[in-house]
Amino acid sequence: MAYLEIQDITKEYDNFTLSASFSVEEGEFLCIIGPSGSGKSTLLSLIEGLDTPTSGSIILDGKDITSERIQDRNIGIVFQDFTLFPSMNVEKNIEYGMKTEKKADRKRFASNLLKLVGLEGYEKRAVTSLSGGEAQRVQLARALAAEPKMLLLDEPLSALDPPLRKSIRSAIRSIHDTLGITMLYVTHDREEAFTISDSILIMHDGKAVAKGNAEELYRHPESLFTAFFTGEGTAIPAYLVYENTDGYLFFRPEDAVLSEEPLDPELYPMHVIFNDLEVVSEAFMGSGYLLGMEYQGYPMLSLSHTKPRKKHVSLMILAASMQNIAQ
Amino acid sequence: MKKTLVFMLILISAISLSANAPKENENVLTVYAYDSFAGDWGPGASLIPRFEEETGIKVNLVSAGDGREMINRVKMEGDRTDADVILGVTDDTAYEAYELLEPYESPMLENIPDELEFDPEHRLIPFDYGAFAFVFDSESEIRRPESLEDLASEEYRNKVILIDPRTSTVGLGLLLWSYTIFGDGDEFVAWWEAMKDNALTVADGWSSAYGLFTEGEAPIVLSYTTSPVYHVMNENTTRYEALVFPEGHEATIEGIGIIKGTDMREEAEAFIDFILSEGQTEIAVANSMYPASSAAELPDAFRYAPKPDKLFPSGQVSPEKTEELIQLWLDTMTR
Amino acid sequence: MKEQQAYYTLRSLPGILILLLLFLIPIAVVFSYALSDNASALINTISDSYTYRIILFTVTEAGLSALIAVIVAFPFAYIFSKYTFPGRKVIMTLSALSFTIPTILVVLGFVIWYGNNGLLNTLLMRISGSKEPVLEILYSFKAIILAHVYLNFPIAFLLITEAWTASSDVAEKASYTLGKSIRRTFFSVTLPSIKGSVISAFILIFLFCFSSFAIIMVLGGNPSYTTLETEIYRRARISGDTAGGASLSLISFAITGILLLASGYGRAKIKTERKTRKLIKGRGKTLFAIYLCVIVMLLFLLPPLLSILYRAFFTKNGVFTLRAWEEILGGGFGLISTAMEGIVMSFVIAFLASAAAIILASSMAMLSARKNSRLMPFLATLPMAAGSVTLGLGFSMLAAYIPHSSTIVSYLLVFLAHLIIVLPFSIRTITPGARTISPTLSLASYTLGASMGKTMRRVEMPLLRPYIKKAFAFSFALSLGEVNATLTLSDGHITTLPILIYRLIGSYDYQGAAALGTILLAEALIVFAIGEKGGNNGIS
Repeated sequence: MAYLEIQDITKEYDNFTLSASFSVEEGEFLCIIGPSGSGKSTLLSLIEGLDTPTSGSIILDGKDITSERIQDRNIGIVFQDFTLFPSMNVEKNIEYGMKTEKKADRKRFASNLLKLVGLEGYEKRAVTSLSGGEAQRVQLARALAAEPKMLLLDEPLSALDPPLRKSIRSAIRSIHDTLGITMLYVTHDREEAFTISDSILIMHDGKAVAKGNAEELYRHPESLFTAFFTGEGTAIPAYLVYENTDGYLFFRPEDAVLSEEPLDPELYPMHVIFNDLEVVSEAFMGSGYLLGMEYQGYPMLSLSHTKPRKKHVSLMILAASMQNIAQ
Repeated sequence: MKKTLVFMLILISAISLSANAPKENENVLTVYAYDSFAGDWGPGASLIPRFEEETGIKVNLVSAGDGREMINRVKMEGDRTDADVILGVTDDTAYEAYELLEPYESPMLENIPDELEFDPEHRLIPFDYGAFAFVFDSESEIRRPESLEDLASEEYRNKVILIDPRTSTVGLGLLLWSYTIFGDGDEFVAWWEAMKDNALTVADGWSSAYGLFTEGEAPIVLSYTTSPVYHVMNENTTRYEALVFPEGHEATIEGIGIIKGTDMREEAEAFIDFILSEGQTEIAVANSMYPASSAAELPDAFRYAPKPDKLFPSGQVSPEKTEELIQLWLDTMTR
Repeated sequence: MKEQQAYYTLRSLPGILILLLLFLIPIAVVFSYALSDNASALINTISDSYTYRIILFTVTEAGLSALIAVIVAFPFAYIFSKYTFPGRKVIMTLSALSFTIPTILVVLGFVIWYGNNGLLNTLLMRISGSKEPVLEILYSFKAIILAHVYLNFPIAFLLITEAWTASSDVAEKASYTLGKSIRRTFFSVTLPSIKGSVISAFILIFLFCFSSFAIIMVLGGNPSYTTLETEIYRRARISGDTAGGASLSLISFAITGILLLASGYGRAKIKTERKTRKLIKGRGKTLFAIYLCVIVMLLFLLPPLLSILYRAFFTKNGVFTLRAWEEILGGGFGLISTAMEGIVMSFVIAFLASAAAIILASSMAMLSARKNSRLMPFLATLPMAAGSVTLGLGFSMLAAYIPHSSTIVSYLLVFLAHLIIVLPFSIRTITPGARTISPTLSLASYTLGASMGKTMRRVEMPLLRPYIKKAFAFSFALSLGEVNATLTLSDGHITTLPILIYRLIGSYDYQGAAALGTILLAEALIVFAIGEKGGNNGIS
């Protein structure tokens, strides 16, 4: 049995139903992503213990915690909001949830945790004097001080500036690797999820639609939603290429090679060729140009190192890198 | 925070426990008295221990609100009442209490003037009395009014502080006084119409009225004949004089009586006799009233509390009539 | 968070019970009287045109007083919520003082200061050489309004200032950038954002003035100024017409009840703004102008209070004497010798009642904030809507049923009566504070394994502390000045400062009363000062 088992839980509201089933291994770093309204926060509140599911169960470390009180779940949480206790200093905040009563141990533990999150010597600081990034590091230390079985991070970085986000993100990852603690990390930032996680769970319309590691999901999405949610791409009806085939063909822009001359399909048997595309947009992306094109009324995307001089171009894609997706 | 809560709980439970604890002993005389007698500052605080010492009778003094509240309480308690004696029923509410009381021909009655004995059956025996009067500031530049009639003359415009009969017994005293003198016809209306102009204000109670007076807002105030005593005793001044009017004064007489069916009749009689003899001076001084017993001795300052020649005991007016007079008064004053 | 709600519901139960019982029992007794005998008394009262005349006057008087108090408070609230300057907090504390003193002392202070023979007139007469009083303010309708505005100014001033300081000025700036004038911005942006506090202040003052008694009668100077409360009091206490008095109580309660419901008073306000206004430091000319306004305000607020102080040291002839003080310190006999007891007793009762009130109110405020419910504010307004005379009527009827032999029962009754009086204020003061505590903060504590109790004690309470302190100070002041319920229920066994003041006045000792009034003010001032200390957050 996995470390965390979400077994067929549902939560019904008047106009929304959540249903999810997945498992997380001990020490796994799982990112949960999905657009707003997809059920991320509902799922989270069920795991946190803010709410109880309509059906199904949650099992953590072999123990059914479905209807256990928040206090007894032993799940640490780092919130998006500032939730440090304003009436206590940094050290007191961290010591708040500690299990040990011995004063010396508490102090040493707190100072070690501060070292771990990169805030050595911050013990006596007032929490109201901390910057946003520092506050999140202290929250992390505080959550860890309670020796949780698992850490839940609820969009912990969304209130921070992008450069700061990157540095704290890697700090979180390294803490995970140091401690080997299971982490559930909720974010709406795809890039964040890709870089930080071992695996990703995608939520859509109240359902957990896919779980896998970043590359799997990116390379071999099982649904159009996953395909588009994990990155840019083009989906065209499959019958345009293969007769009598249902569903869609999906490819990433970087897999589509641009040619300014028309291409002869006979010469490229391993590829799918599209001729006579009209370029409708060009966006410079740094690593190249993202070109928007139209093919028989269908939009297509391609990443090109150079800017095409012609209005009409051709595309060629390795057939193996095209995904056939049913829906 | 928690400590305070625990403390409070202990306190509250301690209070509610002990609240049930003391119960009536067999040989305790229960006396219902109005607050200002029974309170810690009242004359009861010193008189009761003296009585207990002298007679060996234990007294349970219960402070039962004002006169009317006491009566209501005894009525409500009915046969179950602990009260043996009720102290402080005024003559104007006496008719409500008669049915609750048994007569007592106290030997002390001989010292009490007949005009004070408002209950010929002696169910209520007077123990002190007071008379309403206007008090005058002799340092003001106006003429001393000679009579109620005179007080209504124009020169006293805005010079008098009155008290509302709807909210104060003193105010009601004047209303009944004017009724005794003028009846309820045109004379009554005319006098009050004049007084309406002469009144600087009509206060809610005696306290505020007298406060305005001593602050010098007006030179005449409705009060008691005994009011100057305080100023003589404590401020050593005779500046304030109680005006005695030839028409006579409305009086308030306070009585004491024995509750019907008491099994402590003998002790109750002893208590009443005590109040009518030894207790007289102390009660009179504490209440700023005259003692009912002519044998009682008074402090020298009481010389400045002139006794009116003519007294009208209240209690002659039925409650319905009183209500009617208040209405008439209100119509006159707000016309 | 259902569990948290359950927790706070549980903790709120004693408070809810006390509010309900202490409110429902007296009211039920009063109602039963009004409706006995086929409600004939009620029908008589309703069909009497006199009833409507006094209702009209009461509503007019209360409405006008409340309106003027709010209007007068507005400019001062503006200054205090826009600028910060040395002495700002001290002055706000001072402004709350008139809240504490028993009405009879306010009347006395007014007479000493504004009276025809008062200090102000004496001064003006000396300046102008006139023999007659220059300012004949008292004993008229305008005196009623003046006294009501004086007494209730602090409510309007403090409530509006608080809301104004707490409201963000971003929207105002946005309005200016959209080219709207200051006036237009004030009416379409600023006013709506503080509207709640203005209505709140208006209603509170209306309720106080609705049940005003001594002020209307003494300072109005004419029996045609009769309020509902006067008439209730007369019927119940003087005429013995309990059913008639109860009927009027019922009508009075209906009017205030309708008013409260119609105004949406007590409606749970969901919105709490994160950003508060940054106060501008007053400098140079601005500072000068600010102090000018402050002086005007103090000239209005302080003289009647200082008059009491003056009377404590001077006889009415202007001779300095320490007589009253020596007597209080043990030189006297009779009434005033119990002054020390009164000081201690007042303190103990006020302390216990306020302590109990804030403990109960904290849980109730948290519950109301977490459930976002209207129940608690509604409950808290009930005793106020019922009016002091009606409650007093109920209490005295109740007191007749309780064995009076024990002093301890008196103590408990007085304690409970004070509690019901101060609890609504505590709830009202703490609830806005509870609304500012993010539920996530409590959640964070739970996830760290902390119990509800630990969370309340270590996380929520410290954040509520400034509000609790303020609630405590106001409760304390209110309890300190309470007279009616204490008199009705104490059975003469409990001597508190205001009761002693009444008794001293009742036995002609105005100087002693003024001296005790001074002590009362000092006690209140100290508690207010402590309450203010550490109250940052821009709340005062």
